[in-house]
Amino acid sequence: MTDQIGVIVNSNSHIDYVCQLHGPLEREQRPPPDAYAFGSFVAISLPPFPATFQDTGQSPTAYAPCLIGVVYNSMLVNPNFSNLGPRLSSQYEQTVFSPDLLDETATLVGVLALGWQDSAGPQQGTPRLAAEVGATVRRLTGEEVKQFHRDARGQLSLRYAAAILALNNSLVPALLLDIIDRLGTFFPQEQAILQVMRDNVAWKSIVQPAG
Amino acid sequence: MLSSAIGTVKGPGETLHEYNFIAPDPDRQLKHGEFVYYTAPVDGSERRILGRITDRAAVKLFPDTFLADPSVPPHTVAAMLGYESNATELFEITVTVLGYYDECLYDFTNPRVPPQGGAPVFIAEDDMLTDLLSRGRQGELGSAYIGDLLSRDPGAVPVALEVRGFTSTHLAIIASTGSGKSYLAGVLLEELMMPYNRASVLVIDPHGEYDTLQQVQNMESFRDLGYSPKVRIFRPQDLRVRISSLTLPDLRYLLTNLSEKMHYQLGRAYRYAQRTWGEDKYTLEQLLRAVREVGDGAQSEDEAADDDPTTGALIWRLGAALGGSGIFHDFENLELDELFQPGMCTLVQLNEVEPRQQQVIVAALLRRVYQARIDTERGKIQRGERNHVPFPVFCLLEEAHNFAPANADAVSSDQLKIILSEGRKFGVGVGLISQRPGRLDSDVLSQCMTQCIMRITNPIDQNRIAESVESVGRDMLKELPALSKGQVIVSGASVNTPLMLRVRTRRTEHGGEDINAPAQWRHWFENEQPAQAAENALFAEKELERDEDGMLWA
Repeated sequence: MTDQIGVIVNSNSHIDYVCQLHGPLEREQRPPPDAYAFGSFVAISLPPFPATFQDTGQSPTAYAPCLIGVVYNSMLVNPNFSNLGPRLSSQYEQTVFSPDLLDETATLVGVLALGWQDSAGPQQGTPRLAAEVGATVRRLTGEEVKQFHRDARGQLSLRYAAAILALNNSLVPALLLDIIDRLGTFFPQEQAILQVMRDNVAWKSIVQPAG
Repeated sequence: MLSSAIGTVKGPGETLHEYNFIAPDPDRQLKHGEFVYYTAPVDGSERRILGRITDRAAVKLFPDTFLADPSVPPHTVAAMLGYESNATELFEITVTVLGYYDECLYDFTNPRVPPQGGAPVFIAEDDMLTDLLSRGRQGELGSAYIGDLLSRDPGAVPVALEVRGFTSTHLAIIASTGSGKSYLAGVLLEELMMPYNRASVLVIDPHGEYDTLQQVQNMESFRDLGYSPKVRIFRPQDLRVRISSLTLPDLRYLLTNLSEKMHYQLGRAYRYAQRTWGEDKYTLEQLLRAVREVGDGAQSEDEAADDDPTTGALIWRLGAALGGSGIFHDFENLELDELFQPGMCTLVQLNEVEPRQQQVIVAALLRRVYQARIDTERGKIQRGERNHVPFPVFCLLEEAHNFAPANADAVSSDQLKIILSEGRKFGVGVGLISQRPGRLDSDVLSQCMTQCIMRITNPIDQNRIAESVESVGRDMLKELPALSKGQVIVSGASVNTPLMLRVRTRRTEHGGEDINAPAQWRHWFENEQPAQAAENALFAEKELERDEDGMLWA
């Protein structure tokens, strides 16, 4: 079983990437929905791409350079949407005679790059390197997420919070709350500090806008 | 010695003599009232321009939401978000410029050279402040060391008042009850009795709380080569005011509820007595006779009293006010040479004396010493005469609002006002101590050029101080409710700039302690009640004996 969920197909900025999830023609098994759920942590491989890229089904090695990001958005692409004109062939016939036309439907997810990983280990912050089109995106394991949120001294770290809040995206507060909730299970001893930050974000995103 | 910069000038402040600087102040050195300086070229040389911190505002603080959980220090939240620096606070400090000390003018001169933006600001060193802030030098001739600068460690910057300043242009000590005004007055009196001052001081003590000053007579630190201070106490029973030394206003003040006719007759009788027996030489009996002489009724003594109601009432009032009092006397008087002598502190205790009589006694004393000083200075009185006072004197009045009340006439008010406005020419200085400046005559308060102000919480009193005391800035007045016991703001003629001080420890014991009521109540239960119960039991036993015997005891 692979943790790969898709490949980078576009970017909106240095830290905002678009990942196309593997479709039925690329993989036998499509990535499960929770692998690309809102708030899932992913790794975007950086060049040189690991030799395992070509469909070997193996994950990149643990310390292969990659960007670490989080899924913050999703978009469905369907060329047939609103195409309501007369058709010569039915949907079923199309699957037989023109399967690649059906492949044009895709699920895209937006990934925010929150840091990177190199030989020194995981780092939070704006990455220096950028991913390329075609770079594979894989889901991070729980242990990797935990590792990513620990600084060099072993303390809980959430350095990217201010940077993503500054993006002024309406999904970011909910994303941050989701991340904080998840981190609470990873770092129970730091729950109080996380709670202060959670309350701060919740107040600003839930209470103040409604007030 | 502090020599490294503690802040950086941001720019000019709101007013012309203010500037602002930015400082992280991790050690909390930049307290309100602290002294800082910048350097600027003045007349070709670099001078240190001293200023006092008057405001402090935070320009960088943790967001309030970081402070939500008392068990989570905000810096841990900041560290989690990636801010690991210790520089978590930044302050904008407002400084009021005093200037550089001009040795020729003995005062601070504002050079009107604003600091450059980005210039370093230094905290003034202890030695520098010791040199610049006090007019006097601790332990030197004419100085009164009353305490240390509040913003520094105890003893780091001693402040000594210039005795010449407050003994000539007067002193006011203003504080609410329990903030230590009598203690401060005790410190001042100790300093005045020191060998380097040897002052002639009269203390009007309505509560009899300065008794402990007597200890200075036995203390080695107050002695010097043949000098030893004296403390003389006149208790209420020792007070004597010769009736003939009272003026007509004194008499009118003592005799309450006089009708216009009585006023007129008293005036005539007073002048008659002076004319007939001489100024300052008549007795009560002679004054009463004068009242009868000038009365409308018959000239015979008995008839006059019976026939003319005015004469009768006046005689009765004079007899009640002067005759029944042990203080007003036909012949005896407190002589000035008994009261005033260099190196002597005279305590006139007025407890148990009726308030109006207190005012008359004070008015009479002040009038006599002031007149004596004028006559001595002008050469009208020579050495050997009783009223010869060839040295300046200083009179300290406790509960001064009783002697110069606002919105009320007191016979002592006018005399005080005369001395406060004219006294400096003849060497009569006055120190007023009051816990209610709101009840003290504002003219009187504004004439005191050295002010020691301690904690005042009453807004009326605060306003009166703001109106009457010009030398204390508004920023200092804001501190008044926040001062603790034993902390004082000193301003005016005896210091170079308004200062917040910590009053030094007294060498003698403090006599103005409050009664410890709970302790005394407990003492009563432990000692007095058993004794009383024993007495009652004895008495009951005696009664029982009497019953058994069947005898009646006388």
